[in-house]
Amino acid sequence: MSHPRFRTGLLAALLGVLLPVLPASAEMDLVVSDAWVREAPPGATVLAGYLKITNRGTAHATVSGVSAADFSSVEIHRTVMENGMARMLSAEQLEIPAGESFVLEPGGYHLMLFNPARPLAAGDSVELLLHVRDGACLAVDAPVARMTLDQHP
Amino acid sequence: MQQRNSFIRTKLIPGIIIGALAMGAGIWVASLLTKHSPVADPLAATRFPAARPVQAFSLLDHNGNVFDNATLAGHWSFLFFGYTHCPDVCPTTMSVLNSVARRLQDAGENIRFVMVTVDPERDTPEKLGQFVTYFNGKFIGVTGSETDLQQLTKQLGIMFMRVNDADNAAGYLVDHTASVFLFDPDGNYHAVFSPPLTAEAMAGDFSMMARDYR
Repeated sequence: MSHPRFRTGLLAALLGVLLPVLPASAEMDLVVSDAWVREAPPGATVLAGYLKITNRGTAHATVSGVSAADFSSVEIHRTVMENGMARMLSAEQLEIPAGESFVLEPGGYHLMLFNPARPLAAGDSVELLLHVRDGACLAVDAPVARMTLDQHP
Repeated sequence: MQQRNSFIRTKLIPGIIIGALAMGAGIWVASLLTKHSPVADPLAATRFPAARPVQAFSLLDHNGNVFDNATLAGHWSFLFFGYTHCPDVCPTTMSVLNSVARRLQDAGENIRFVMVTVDPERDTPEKLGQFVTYFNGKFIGVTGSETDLQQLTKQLGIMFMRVNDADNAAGYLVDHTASVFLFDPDGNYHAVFSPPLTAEAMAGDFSMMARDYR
């Protein structure tokens, strides 16, 4: 059974099966949940989107940007309260260490979704594309929802 | 003489010392009590010992009606300062105010909820109206020239400044004070709610202040 040639063959076979899977990109390790877009008053030109990204991999992941076909552009922003002032800061990218989650939620990090191409109301849904640093792209389906207080869908 | 000295030594001096100690202790306890219980306000809001008069200002609501000192008189008013191109903080505050309104609608108080724009250039009366009534049909949007707005904001210590973000597709953002200001039926500045704002605390504080006001 333990013939050297056989062992080599087995190893090669195993590698052949495993190799395409092993260099799994961050795409495979990033899981997006709780994505939603806040329904805005009629005529609004800017909407906010929220989601949670979990990095289940062993490597640090960077989301370098977000895009959406339903909007002219998408930016990552962060609301900060400083001495009672609400300030908005741009964030170039989102850093998600291995094994950790990054949450975008009201009053903190959020997506700024500019100029909706169609009227969006609760019940609609929007596709968001998260661009990962390694070149991968993650598609996320985000329902449009009205914000209910102290909780969101 | 000997007897008198002994009286002074054994009775009077200790008596004076004990009396002084007791008095000191009494003063100390009284100072503790006045410092901590009767003066401390149980509210999350900051209210003033005496409501502050509001200097003259004149703005317009989203229906084109004058909104000035006289408009504040006769009922309670919650004022928030925000803008419609603000997708995160302002809609959240408006939702909180709607929840406050719903919690207080059975209280029998006539209360107005107002968003004053800090972005008069883009917030036309029509846009303001669409924005505020989305959250509650009775909400009022108020605007005016930057100079007219300053008449109100300066005396309340409200700051707002345009942030020119070249990368921002919206053109610019406005950093602004995120507090909610309460005016009493005398038209005076009564209290201020600072973030983080919760409807429960705001409604509870309001009920207490309205009761104390009567």
